[in-house]
Amino acid sequence: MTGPGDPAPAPAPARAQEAERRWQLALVVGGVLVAGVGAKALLTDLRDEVLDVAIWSLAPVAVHDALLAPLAVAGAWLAARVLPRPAWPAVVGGALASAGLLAVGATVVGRPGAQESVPSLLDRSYGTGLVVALLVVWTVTAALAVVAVVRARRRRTGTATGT
Amino acid sequence: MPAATSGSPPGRLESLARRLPRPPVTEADFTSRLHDERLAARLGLWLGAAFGICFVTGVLSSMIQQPPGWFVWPTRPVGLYRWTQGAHIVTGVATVPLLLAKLWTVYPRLLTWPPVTSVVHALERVGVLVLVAAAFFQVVTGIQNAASWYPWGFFFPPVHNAMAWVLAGALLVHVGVKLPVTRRALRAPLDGDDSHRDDDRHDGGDQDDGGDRDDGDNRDDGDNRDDGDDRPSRRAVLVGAVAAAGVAALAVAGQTVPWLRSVAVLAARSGEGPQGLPVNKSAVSAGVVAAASDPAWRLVVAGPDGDVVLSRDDLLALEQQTADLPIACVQGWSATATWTGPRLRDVVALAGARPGAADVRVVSLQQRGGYRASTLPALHAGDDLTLLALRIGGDDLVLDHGYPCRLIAPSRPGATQTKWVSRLEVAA
Repeated sequence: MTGPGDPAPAPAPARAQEAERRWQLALVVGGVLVAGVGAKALLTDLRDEVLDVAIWSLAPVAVHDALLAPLAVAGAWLAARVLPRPAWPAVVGGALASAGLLAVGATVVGRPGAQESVPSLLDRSYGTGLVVALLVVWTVTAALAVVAVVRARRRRTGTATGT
Repeated sequence: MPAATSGSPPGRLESLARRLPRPPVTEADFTSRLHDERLAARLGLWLGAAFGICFVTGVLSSMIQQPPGWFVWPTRPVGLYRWTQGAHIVTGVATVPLLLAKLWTVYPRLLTWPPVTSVVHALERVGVLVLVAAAFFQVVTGIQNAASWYPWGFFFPPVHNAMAWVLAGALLVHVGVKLPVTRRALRAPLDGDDSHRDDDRHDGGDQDDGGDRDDGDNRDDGDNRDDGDDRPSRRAVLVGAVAAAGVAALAVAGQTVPWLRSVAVLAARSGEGPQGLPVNKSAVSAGVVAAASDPAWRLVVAGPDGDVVLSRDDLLALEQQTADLPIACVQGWSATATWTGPRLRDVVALAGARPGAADVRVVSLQQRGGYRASTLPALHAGDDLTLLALRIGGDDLVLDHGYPCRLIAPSRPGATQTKWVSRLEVAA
């Protein structure tokens, strides 16, 4: 395997490397063609929508890259200083589950898509549902984190005493 | 790619890029062992599989609604579309945690310094932007659409379809570009040492084994973590991200899977509604209340022998068939009901059409809207279970379910199960 200073993957036999390059080329060319199917539709039948599509594509990227991701990084930095390390994965999982619930919740809490004549649309108590779901997620997260910390301590004690 | 340029003198583009003001935080400042290609590659496999399911089921749904000449969508099992489209929505929701986890893992790469090192590197970064932007577009607008929330100005289906191809293509390009890195990352044990993390960096790898390590623990111990090593496990984070995807899926899956309804706390529909069935388009919003409740309503069947005009009583006088069939909406919800009415093939036969020989255009009383008419493929038109439903669960349809009569066919998108039918046209 590679050592700390190696700049490249383990050198493969030339033929395998050649095969890999061919795969790369096929994937890139194929990908451009596949994307071209969508690009053609956007630039012909849907050309009036292109600006809207650009906004709804790039705005989430900007919000994520400039706001959500730095917040997540700051949160992770803070959590890393407060929480014992074995608890981290559970907390990451809990945060990701919460993000998923909040993303879907944002489209149903407050019923922005409600239609007066269709009472069977958006007919649950979404605020309550979201809060309960988040409580369940963080209860499970806390339990898993505690278990991980306790197991890590036991393991360390076990190692220290040579068992 | 980058490995080859490592150590070579910087090109003109890189020299230019280096003159840009250096941001306060760059890739080198991220020292957690979770920002690692091995975790990124495995998250990528899960995310890629999820996007693959969305792409295939989405393209199928699109082709069912606008079939190319060669395309045939089967009528059995009757719930086939219910499952493909349910999988589309549930999987789409599940991508949210996977996408965020993947982006978080590779976030330092966004802040790589210098920002570009060559034309190929610049192209690769543009490709990644297209990939991420298309992914966000599909996931964000898709989830909004499933909740009937349309804050944008465009008609959703064709745009979602076009962007699906952009996303699929950008993903293939990304896999192609990253193939050597991905293969290396997948071969390496997920929780092994961090030695090859920064192979393709240019500004030195000295930040590699940053402050995350336990003192005195530098062994490459692969997956063997029973020795007091409490560095955060990448495997545990991967499991956490996949579990988070499962939680998100569970919050909506009850729309498709009836026994999960009680925990589907964020599903846009509880599954309840008039006559035990949710409604998508109401008679009021379709503007058909007066025409549909008018006793003078008649169904016109245009076939090879000319037009045949039928009243609701005429339809009731035909042989009645009862079938349990699902309504399966493109928005992902579905519900099964017991429908009763004459078979569509018997109705069009009255106008001289041979059963199952031709497509049938089904036209609604609705005056406007993309779903006022649908074309039923010959295969579905001739099916024993395809009904012009008059009743649901033994009662006359309510207006919102399509009174005086509606189309109900097996394995078909709900939007094309035309309600308030006023006209059937058999293709010549």
